[in-house]
Amino acid sequence: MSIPLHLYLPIAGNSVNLLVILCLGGGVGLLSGIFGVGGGFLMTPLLIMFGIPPTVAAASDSNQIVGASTSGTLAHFRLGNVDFKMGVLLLIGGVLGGTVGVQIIKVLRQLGNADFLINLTYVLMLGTIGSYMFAESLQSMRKVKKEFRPTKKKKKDSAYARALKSLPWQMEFPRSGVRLSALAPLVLGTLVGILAAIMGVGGGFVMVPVMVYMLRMPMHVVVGTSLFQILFTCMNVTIMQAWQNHTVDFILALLLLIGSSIGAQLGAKLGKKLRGDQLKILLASLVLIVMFKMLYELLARPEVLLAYVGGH
Amino acid sequence: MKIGYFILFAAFCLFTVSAGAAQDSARMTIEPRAIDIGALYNGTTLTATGSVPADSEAVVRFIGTSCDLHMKEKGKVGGVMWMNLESITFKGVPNICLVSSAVDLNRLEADGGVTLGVLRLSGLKKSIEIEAKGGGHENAFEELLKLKQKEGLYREMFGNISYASAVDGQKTFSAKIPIPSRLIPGAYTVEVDAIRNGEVIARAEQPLTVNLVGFPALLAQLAFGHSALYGILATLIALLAGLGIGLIFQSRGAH
Repeated sequence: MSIPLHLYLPIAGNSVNLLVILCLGGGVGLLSGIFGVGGGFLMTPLLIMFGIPPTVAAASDSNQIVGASTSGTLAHFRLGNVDFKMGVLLLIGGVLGGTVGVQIIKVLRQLGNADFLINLTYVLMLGTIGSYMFAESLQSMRKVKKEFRPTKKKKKDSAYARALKSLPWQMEFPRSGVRLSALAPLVLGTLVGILAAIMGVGGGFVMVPVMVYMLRMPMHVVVGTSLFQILFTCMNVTIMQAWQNHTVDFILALLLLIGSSIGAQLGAKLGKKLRGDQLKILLASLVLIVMFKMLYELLARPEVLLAYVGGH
Repeated sequence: MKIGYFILFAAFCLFTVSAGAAQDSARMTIEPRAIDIGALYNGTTLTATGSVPADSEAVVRFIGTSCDLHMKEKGKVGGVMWMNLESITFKGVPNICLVSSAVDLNRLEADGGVTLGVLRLSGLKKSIEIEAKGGGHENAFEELLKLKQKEGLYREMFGNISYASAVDGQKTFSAKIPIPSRLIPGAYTVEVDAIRNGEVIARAEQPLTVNLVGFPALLAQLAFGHSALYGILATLIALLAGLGIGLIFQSRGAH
């Protein structure tokens, strides 16, 4: 039995079941609210599965992420989880990196086999980040379970930490409780921006681990700050895609948004109930699932040996 | 006397030919003559009625306008991984092709003849041109068919045409064609071909237009005519909606 409520999407050129799209938005929004990722890497393939052309799916998803991340940022802001200072620095780096990344991908496409490199980068990045986060959070969860023993000896700083301290323009980030050089978020934001542009995604699932492990920010502030940064990235992508490629289906985005905004609010509240290491292990599992799905797609023979140009 | 016989013979030939021509003809009307896509459009049924020679089978096709498709062919890299590799262009690809018949087309094709094959999905191979670098594109057309069939845009159906009893060598038919929800505005053609012994003996066609109406029309006009404004509005509305939902949750949380 099918649910009879359908709506025609003029830009996608297809009709969709209203409730299916609302639920899809809600599910992905929930993850977005919990982990601070945009959810583009999950939503776009799901939309394609429901008959939306790949280019329209990717662009409309960016439009809905604008709404979802606004709602998510607001929820995290009220909980005191958004470090605006850090977010702005990462955003500047992200915009610079995105611009460089677009040029790199142009050169890669001219050289040929760009898609191969993109997919391989995806699998390697997701595999490395996911495995490291999983192992690290599992270790910290076990430590918490055993006993809380204050360490007498102060841990010696790693070479990375010493390098961070030696950088100029050191400043306080009170919300995150760290003291860092302004160059660190700028450079790391640029690197993530490059990767995000090459991989064709918002970059939330790369940015979150970078903030946790390289900027040493507490997990709850990471989630809110990541959403704040994603909001601006996706605003830019939506306007550019609508203007240049006519691929933003606003009705589809609005339906997804209603679902995902509610999901993001619930996600933020649910995330607050979870400990930092629990959040990390859940995100690590999600990243690893996506990595295995991509690896399977790379290795298994596709049903059809043709693909439309565009999309993720 | 000879002249009289000649005139009689000529008159007989003329009568025979015109009678044959009248029998080997097809006619068709369609309902609706235009499809309006409104906000709640979710596919429709097109009815084609008409007549074909009594000893023939009707094949009704719903075909869209042809366009060029730029795609990527997938192939194995290093013998292990499947990737989008070569660019390939298909020229003259109808955006939709639905073929309906009363009986299985394979059975009709078994009667021999060649022109029936052209009406089938596989017959599009003759009209679609493939442009790609190098060799190894032998199965490209078959893959295109597979993709379009998966999207529900190319389809061969049988059993959706019914006949009434024949009168004066012509039998009337009625075809119910399910039009998918994945439809774009433009010009389409509905054609009926009368098939005897695997050959097309008569054809009739009707044009059909698909239009966007109401809210989808307004939105498409804005998206394609004023794209920058559309992008800014889409972003602003998404922002406000996100804020609104956030505030609703805030007020609920306050109680």
